Amino acid sequence: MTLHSTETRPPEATAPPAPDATAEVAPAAAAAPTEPSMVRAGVRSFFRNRNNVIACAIMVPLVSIALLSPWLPLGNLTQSNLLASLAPPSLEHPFGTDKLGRDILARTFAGLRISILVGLAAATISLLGGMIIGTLAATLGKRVDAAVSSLVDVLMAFPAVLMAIVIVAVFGPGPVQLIIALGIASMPAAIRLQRSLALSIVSSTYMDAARMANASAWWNVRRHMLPNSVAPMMVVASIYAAEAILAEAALSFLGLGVVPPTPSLGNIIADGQNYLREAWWISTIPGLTIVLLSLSLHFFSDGVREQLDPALRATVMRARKERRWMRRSR
Amino acid sequence: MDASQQMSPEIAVEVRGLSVEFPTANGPARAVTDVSLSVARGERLAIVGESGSGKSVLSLALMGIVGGSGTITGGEVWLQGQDLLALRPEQLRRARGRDIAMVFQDPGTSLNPVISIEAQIVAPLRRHLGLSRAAARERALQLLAETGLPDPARTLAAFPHQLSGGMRQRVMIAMAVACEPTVLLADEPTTALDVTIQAQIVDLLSRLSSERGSAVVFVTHDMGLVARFADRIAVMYAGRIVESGPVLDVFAAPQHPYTRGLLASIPAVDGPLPDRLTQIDGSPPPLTELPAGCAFVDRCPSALPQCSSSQPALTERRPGQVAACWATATIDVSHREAVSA
Amino acid sequence: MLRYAGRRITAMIPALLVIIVLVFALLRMIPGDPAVFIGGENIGPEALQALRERLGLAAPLPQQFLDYLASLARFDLGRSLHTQLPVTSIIGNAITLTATIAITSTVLGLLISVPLGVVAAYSKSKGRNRGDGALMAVVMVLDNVPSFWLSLLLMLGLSYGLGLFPISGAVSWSDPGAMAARLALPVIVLAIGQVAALTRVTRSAVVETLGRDYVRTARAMGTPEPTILFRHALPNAALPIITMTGLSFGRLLAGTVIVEAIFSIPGIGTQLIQAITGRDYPVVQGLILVYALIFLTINVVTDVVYTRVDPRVRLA
Repeated sequence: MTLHSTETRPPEATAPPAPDATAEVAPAAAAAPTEPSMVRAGVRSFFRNRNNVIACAIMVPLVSIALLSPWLPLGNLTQSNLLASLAPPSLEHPFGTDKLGRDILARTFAGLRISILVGLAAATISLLGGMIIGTLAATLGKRVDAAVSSLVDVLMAFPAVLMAIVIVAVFGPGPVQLIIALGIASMPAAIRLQRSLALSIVSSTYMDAARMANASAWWNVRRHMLPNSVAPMMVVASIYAAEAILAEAALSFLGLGVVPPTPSLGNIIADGQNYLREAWWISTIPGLTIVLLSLSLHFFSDGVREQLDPALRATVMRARKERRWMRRSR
Repeated sequence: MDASQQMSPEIAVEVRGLSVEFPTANGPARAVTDVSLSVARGERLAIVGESGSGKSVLSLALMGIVGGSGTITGGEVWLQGQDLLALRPEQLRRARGRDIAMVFQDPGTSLNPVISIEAQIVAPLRRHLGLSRAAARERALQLLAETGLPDPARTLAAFPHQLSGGMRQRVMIAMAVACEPTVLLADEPTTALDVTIQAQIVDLLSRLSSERGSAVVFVTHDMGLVARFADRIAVMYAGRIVESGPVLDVFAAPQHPYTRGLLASIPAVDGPLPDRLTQIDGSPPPLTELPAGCAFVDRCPSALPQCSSSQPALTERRPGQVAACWATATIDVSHREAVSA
Repeated sequence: MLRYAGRRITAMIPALLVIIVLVFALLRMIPGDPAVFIGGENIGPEALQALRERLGLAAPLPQQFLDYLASLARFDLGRSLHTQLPVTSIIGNAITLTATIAITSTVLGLLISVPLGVVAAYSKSKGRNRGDGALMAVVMVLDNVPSFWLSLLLMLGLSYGLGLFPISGAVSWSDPGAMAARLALPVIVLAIGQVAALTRVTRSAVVETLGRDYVRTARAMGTPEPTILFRHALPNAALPIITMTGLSFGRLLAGTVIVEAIFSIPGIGTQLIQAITGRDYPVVQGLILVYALIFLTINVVTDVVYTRVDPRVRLA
């Protein structure tokens, strides 16, 4: 977040010789803040934001549970125990058991792992794809830009879930297909944002300076466009992750995503639907987990956004607004 | 009301000690401080001052309106025997548009773009005067005709974006005078318009208000308009009235150094063009950090030691003309003593 | 206005072509031999060839595309592999139900969100940030509740708990009362799904218009506050609300897929899931095309509605 203020200096080539040294150090340090004091300052400003604090308060426990769950004494995930079928919450099974007597808590934690994995992986795919294609569209000239933009416009008309369903229809259900499907489903939006970010960077003054210094196109992309896009893209990427998590749950719920016996939050809830009357606890806890996970990602997105450069914030807000409009996809 | 009755039975509005504040990150900004004024029926008062002097805030506060998070921190606005600011919100709302109405600065943004002109004029007529739909429409046509709009019926059916700036301002004026308000406020009603139309609009405002006997409070920074239109002038600086009096007297013998500076910065129309226009150096203090003394002290060519420590009160300099200045007060008193001797 | 609508429909054509190409490619993107994938490994060679013919996979690729376009021009989307029914009639039967649910829940969503958004905007404009904050916090939580989980919660509370709405049984128009009760829960779930987006956009649009000069004028003319809010501020905030309604109608249609599955309502969403799990590709292709058409149409309808609401757009 400190990234932008330091990066907006003219590149060293055009700077006068004397302050050149600082100008050269600053962008490098900003792009990779390795200096301990900078890291500390960054961390401090990160936690001064209320949204970030809320996001971490929810996310840290959830993620650590997900990571540690294989080592927690929770019992077997897939082993059935018909004696304990549909047992209500008790000391032994804090969130009860399902029809096959499996512990809901253990299955929820395992499902959480998959949700986080799918969310992160899908968001990473849309982020990388978006940054690459978006940057290319912005830099390779009018024709490429027009072609990419019109394709993106058409694809944006499709809700992410529906697009994921179509992709699953082609490649069949499964976690890997799901990650790819959800990654592709959010990509048009990511492309559009990266394209407008890159275009706004192209038209900024320090790029004029770089052009005068005859900097190569690749140098510009590497030195200016990508570093300056990372933080704004993070704002939307955390929303994509939340969406991917919700979409994974929805697809698994419909039987088009993670297929039993592998537990996922979506298929546990689907399983619970069959015993809703007798065993309300099966669906309740996984659902609550999804809500918390998704909420924390939204808080994180808001927090990062509030610490963005004002100029970039406008671009991101526009994209996010669009995205918000797009959100009714679960 | 006893004070006003003694002054004149025809008093239309009397303001006493009005103050408005806006909270800011640097503490409260005192946009209007302790302003008192009165306007008689049929009289036209011009309030002048530079941007940020509080003249627009003052005019809105006369209707009990403050934008955003601002508050009226004190004062009274007596109109038709009642203090508007002490009324309950519902009663205050009923007085707005009926007893006191306002013509705004920019007719392009002050009319609602999605409501037809007819609906915008007819609504207050029905609300305040209880007219039927047909009668209100009839009255609206008549009002628009009075404002000199060529085709009132077509104007009524139009939406604001279909009219020119001058036409919109005529509509605004028609709306404002529709219920024959006791007081008509006008906040720079001509600044957003073509120069050629400005004079017409001022004449219209002047004619309609005098036909109805409304008192007019006219906010402007155009001294030419003041000379042409107003009976009295009140000069505002940093939220206070620093001088007021009959226009001719104030123009002839300004008593406050700020008024002098303001008048000196206008080239005389009939005189030779000066080499360079006089300007007042510096800028007014921020409204969050008003000094204990006179706010003009840092820019004042004739500042005295006491100016920065204590606030001068408005004192009468000539019949009807008051000014708040330590420096000219002493000179003037000596002058007057010399005359009487 | 008709000419404007015509122009907007013409502008749809390139997007439509892209979608037709994508839908055409859909079947052909299946890894390996699509016919084997659909028919199964144990299918005999004659049956395989017959299936290829039926799927339109037998001819060379350019010919396949031309054939596909020709049948589209005849409004022929092929026949279901399972029921042998024409895809158009399958969709035709199901779409009324889905449209009813989608439109009703959009209307309900607007009826909930617009007043909420206006109230939030009003409290914000009056400096009552706590009321605004509380309302927006509720909205934020609602925004993160998955529709299928909300469905189950409502089922648990309203159907099982209070016995209010039936969640199974025939879906038929012959008994309108029973039909309304049967569709109530899905409609409520989808409407709540709209609330977050619509409330947010209403709030920010109304906050903006409340700061406009014409609102000050209305206030100065003694207009009552409710009239200011609903007659002066809200219509000026209509454009973003309409845009959002259009966009979120599209998303809501995707939501119907899930909600129809939960409440076993035979709309096009249920048809889509069944067709995908049953590898009934002519139906899948037909449905995707119909969905795409609906999304494109919504865009046009949104734009045309603008011109009815805002007189400034009407002339433009």
